[in-house]
Amino acid sequence: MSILAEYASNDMEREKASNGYLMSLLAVMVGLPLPIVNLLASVIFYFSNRKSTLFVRWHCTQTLVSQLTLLIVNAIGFSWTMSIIFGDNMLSNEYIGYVITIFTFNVIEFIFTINAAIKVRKGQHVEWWFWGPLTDLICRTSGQKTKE
Amino acid sequence: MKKVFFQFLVLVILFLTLFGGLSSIDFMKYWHLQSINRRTEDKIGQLVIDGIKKSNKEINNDSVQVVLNTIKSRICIANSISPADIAIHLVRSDEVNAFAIPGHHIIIYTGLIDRCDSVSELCGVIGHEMGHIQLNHVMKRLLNELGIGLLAAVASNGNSAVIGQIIKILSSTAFARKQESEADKISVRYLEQAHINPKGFANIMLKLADMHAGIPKEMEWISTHPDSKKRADTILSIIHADQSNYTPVLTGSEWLVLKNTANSGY
Repeated sequence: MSILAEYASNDMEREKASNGYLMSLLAVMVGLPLPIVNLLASVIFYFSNRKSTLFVRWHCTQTLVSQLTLLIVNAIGFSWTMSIIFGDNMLSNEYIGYVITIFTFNVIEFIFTINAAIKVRKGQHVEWWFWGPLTDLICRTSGQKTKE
Repeated sequence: MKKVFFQFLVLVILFLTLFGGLSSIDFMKYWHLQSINRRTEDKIGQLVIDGIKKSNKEINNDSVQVVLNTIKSRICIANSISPADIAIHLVRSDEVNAFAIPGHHIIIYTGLIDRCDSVSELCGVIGHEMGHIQLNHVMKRLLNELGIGLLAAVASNGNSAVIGQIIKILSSTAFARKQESEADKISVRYLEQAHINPKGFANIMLKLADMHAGIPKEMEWISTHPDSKKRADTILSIIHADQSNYTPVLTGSEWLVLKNTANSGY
């Protein structure tokens, strides 16, 4: 469990951390169907808060790594779609299956992001499955004692 | 680290399981996607035929139809294609041309038949156009050049300007080099399966090469229509040299019916 689970964040930290999640949601709505726009928003927000407190950095990183994972699967879907429209590929059950799969994952991520934005705004630490521990590794917060 | 790796693996397995499970469902059948696609294509095809008939006369007397159907059936049956799935239309024009249009139609101009010295030459061209149809080159090309929106609009309201554009695209410009090459190869395969001598196809390509002799060789590299001489060479190189069990497609009199119709002006 991350050291941030017991960390008492202040209002400014909560707002910034929550905005990191909201930024990616906004970018999804603006940037569809291009898979890169929401990642870009998360990247910009991450770099603009790199020197911020651990709480803010951690949540910016979590949303960034989740967007990065989605970028990969969405980019595959996007290029498959382009190859059907402009290339030699044809519409197939595999393509439809893939689109439904990535749509499902995107919707789940969307819901989790909204949930995280709300909870983090209230000061609760939200750690996602896989992306939470990954963020711990990146931010080197696993097993550390809090000092902030 | 182990925790991250394990959770990553579980996530990947979950993703692949969902993808695999969904891929095994026949969405194309349950959502009638193939029939919707085909209905739209048939509609566009009919509009294109009507457009062609406005400027050129279709020759549809019974004796000509019987001969064309004989050729079509021979190639189709040997290659497990339903003959009813493809329609061949002979159209009066001095132009040496044949092209496939949406809805699995093949348009052959009388100018082409006039140029053919043997049935196998004509069969090569028909096989080539069938190849474009079977490989779905026609609709893909129109989607590429006109876009889904315009095609859907044509299917619903039959815009004559767009129909004219479609006819121009399909009759006067070649498919991409790769697609022409694929159709050439598939034609050779179709003919060999039907025991029709594919050398006839190479012959007609050489005749086209003679016709295009005025075009500078350098243009070939930037042209989407590969040089006919090169295509003839490629066709000859892929013909199975050990196959010789070719049989005539038409009788002499049947071939004459076609040739005379092409020459007669009626």
